[in-house]
Amino acid sequence: MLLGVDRSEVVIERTPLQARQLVLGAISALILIGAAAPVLASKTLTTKLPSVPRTFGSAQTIGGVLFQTYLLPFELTGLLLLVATVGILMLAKRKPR
Amino acid sequence: MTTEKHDNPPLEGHVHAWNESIIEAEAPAAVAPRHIPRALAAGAGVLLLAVIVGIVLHGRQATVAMYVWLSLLMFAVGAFGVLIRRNALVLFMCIELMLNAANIAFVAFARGSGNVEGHAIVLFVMIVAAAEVAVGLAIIVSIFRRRGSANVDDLTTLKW
Repeated sequence: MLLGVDRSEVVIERTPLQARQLVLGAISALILIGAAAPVLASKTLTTKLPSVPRTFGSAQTIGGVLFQTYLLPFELTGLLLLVATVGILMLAKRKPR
Repeated sequence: MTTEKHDNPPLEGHVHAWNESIIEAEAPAAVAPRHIPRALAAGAGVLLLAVIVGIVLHGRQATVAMYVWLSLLMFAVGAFGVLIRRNALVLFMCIELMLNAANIAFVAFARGSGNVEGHAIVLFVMIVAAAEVAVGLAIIVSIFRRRGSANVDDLTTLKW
């Protein structure tokens, strides 16, 4: 089921863009840009990036934050991944005939 | 909408029948040539955009606002994709695009404020997105096995 490998499996969606959709999309894009532009042009966001210590964003500092400040959420995400794995196995299993 | 329960037929036959119905619906000759020019045009457009952005930003100091603009653009592309595409797989890719746009904004603000907690939150977002995508893909696969289609407009059984 590799998409696009086999020419006969090429699937083309036929939902042409209508003029109405384009107008609505343009209007909403303008609203979004108009709402974001004043904020993004403000002084605090357009000043030079502050200098940070060399260890900023290194694996060590991020690991420290993960395992000290956010230890409980970190463990919970592990549980989430386990639940997701079990759920996928249940979903993807072929039912016996 | 057929709701009778049938055992999952072997995938091969299902895909075959599905393809045939699609090829029947539109002339096969019209399918092949339309595909490549479109991709070329999209690639050329992206390249042109990158060149323009490079010229505009050349020699400037990086600011948080630039990264947030990028994040805004990515989010808009994702939202647009979710709105216009009907294939469940493409929908998933667009949702990922939106999540990663939020990640870029998180990291940019973290760098701007000199606080590493943004990075930690981005890692959490990635983990949750991984779980969500895995479950979603499993659901899409089982829907595809049962229905022979991944078009979200066909899934109206739960509609009131």
